[in-house]
Amino acid sequence: MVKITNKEAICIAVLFLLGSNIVIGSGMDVQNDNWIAGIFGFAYFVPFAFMYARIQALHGGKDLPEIANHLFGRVFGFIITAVYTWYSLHVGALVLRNFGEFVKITTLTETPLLVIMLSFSVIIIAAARLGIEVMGRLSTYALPLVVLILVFMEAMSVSQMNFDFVKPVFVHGFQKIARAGFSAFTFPFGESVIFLGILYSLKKRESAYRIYMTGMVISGIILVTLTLMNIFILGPVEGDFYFPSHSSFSRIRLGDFLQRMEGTISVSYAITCFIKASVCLFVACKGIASVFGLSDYRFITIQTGLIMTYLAFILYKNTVEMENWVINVYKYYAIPFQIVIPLLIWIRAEFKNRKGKRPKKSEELEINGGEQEEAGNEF
Amino acid sequence: MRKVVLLPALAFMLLMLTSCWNYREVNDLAIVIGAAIDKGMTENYLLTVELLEVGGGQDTEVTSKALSVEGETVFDAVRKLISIERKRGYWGHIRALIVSEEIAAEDLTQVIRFFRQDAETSGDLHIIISKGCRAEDILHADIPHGTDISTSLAQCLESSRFLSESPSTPLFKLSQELKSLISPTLPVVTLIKLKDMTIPVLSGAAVFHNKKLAGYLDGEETKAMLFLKDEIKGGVLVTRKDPALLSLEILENNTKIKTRNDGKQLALDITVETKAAINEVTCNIEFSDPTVFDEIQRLAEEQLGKKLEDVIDKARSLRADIFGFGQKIYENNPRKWAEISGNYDEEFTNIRVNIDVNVDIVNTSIIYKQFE
Repeated sequence: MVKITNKEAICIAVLFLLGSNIVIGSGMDVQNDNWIAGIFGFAYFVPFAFMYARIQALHGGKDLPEIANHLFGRVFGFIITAVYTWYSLHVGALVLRNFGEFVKITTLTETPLLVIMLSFSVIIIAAARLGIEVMGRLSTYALPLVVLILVFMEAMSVSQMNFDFVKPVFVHGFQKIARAGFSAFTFPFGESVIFLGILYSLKKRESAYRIYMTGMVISGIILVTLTLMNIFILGPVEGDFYFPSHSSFSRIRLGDFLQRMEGTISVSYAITCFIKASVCLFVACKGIASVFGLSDYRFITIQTGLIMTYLAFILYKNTVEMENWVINVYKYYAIPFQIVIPLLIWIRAEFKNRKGKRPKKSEELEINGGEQEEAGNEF
Repeated sequence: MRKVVLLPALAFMLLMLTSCWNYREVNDLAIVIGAAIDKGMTENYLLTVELLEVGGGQDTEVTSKALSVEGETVFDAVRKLISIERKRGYWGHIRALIVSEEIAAEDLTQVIRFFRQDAETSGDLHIIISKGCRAEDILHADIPHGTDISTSLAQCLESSRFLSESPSTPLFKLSQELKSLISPTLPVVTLIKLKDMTIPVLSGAAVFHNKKLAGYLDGEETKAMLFLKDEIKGGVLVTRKDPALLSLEILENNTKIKTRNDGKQLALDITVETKAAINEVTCNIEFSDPTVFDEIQRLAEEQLGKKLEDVIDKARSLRADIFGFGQKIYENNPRKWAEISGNYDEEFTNIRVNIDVNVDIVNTSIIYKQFE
């Protein structure tokens, strides 16, 4: 059985949460208060992170389909698995489309969108096929690079910043900002519900809390700083761009020689989108394998990957539709997947846990103890 | 077996994934370095572009030429250019866009929106208003230096921080100002005769109000405006101390605008802190005498303060808040702004402004004593 360490899982989590959000920005529409909305979204997510982690901790070693089957029996388990398979396939397709649109609009204007996304999906399929362990190891190398690029670009753009753009702080009022914060909750934080599909491979089941918390804090800090940077650099025109951070980093001017640096940021876009789409594809494949009772998910990665690519292709007719979806529709679409169903799973899991506590407890403790020792040696 | 299959597959992918789909040869592109837009005769706009031509041979020689074409929209004209030029224009290097007075008086944004929306053009594009002549005439004028007019205009604007008589407003900054509560100001270009040449020259600023050209500021007024916008990086402050004239070189400037709300009346406190050096006097002045030195500082403050008040009065007569006072009020006191925003054009003429100028002369360059 493949296992990933806490560090690897945290790196995947951070990259997953950054993915595609740093490309298109959250659908927050309170201009200079967007960063506060980001903090609100973060705050909303905290209880949900605990909930997701609790679901995982109650069922160590089980992946999402197994949890669903265990809690709700075959029929409802089947439905929940199918729903989450669809959700992760859809999120993967959204990420792919966002990245594809970005590349198409900014650089490869004459290349068909499908070609861009197909070439990107080749490595996504490869990563999903190789499994979670490879993604984990890759992430530990990729995350420092992504953070380094972002910090470097932010440092370079200090001279372009106008700190007055953030004023007047809180002008949009509590209610509006709190509502905008919900957008930031559904995208990207809430999407980490898909993470339930890979956390089964943790070495220690209690670490689910740590991974959710650390991953969330790190990516939250990165996202809020990035939003602040965009406000400082772009100011009143921040909301005008499809790809705000690309536009703000394109403002970098250091003398005559260091300019037009926005190409560099595409590297971190590519890495984060790649990890996020791979995780989504992996979870989707697992789900399909479970729904159809396949012994191994690997047989269907290529097919599912191609379906995901084509789904990405037919999702929207144009970029305007994509932006409308991100800003106006997605926050409602995400409610059942991120809030309602996880809540049901959690409540059910707590009941079942309480009922079956007595006979099971001693058994579990033994396993935990053994694993803790093992982990202790490693750190 | 695996390797046999994999190797050709990888080699194939290497060829396919080079992004050559979008490959564009340099010699298939006409490099656009500048553009000018006028009202057209038969269609809406007359677009004039300045193209760079790179000659072949050992010493590559770069020359420029100007071409004009009409179109229903700007982009329409951009593409119609192909029928004259034979190549597609490459707009990534455009440095200057000259807009005619006529269009500016109607609505400036009708022509600049294309340049903001297009992915190829950059936000560093300088927008310039042509005064007293058609925009195309600027690009057809004689080239004072270098290979083309657009680059020299753009360079003049970029070096103007040592002169501060033209507001350098690239497209990016202009769109920020259009979206905030500041009335934008753009640099102005006119044609002057110099011996047998007609050359373009930058002077002053065009003031916009509600996207329309409202009036002009001359060089001195522009400098005063830049003081109030805290965009002064250099320049000369000519100070009169009868009978002498002194040139103070601005080394550093820092302008702060604070809003004060005492009762009903809204007031702005503007503090201008300037560090300057005396670089020229027209007759003997004893710097070594502290009373004289203090006198010079006092006079400089007084005269600069007067200029600032004059430019505020001028802006008020144009009803254009070019200094961003409204923006400052909004930033610091959004509630008050909500009250007055409906009638701000009127409010702007009534805001109390207290100007406190502080000129600090830090040196007199390398000379301590003048000759008689």
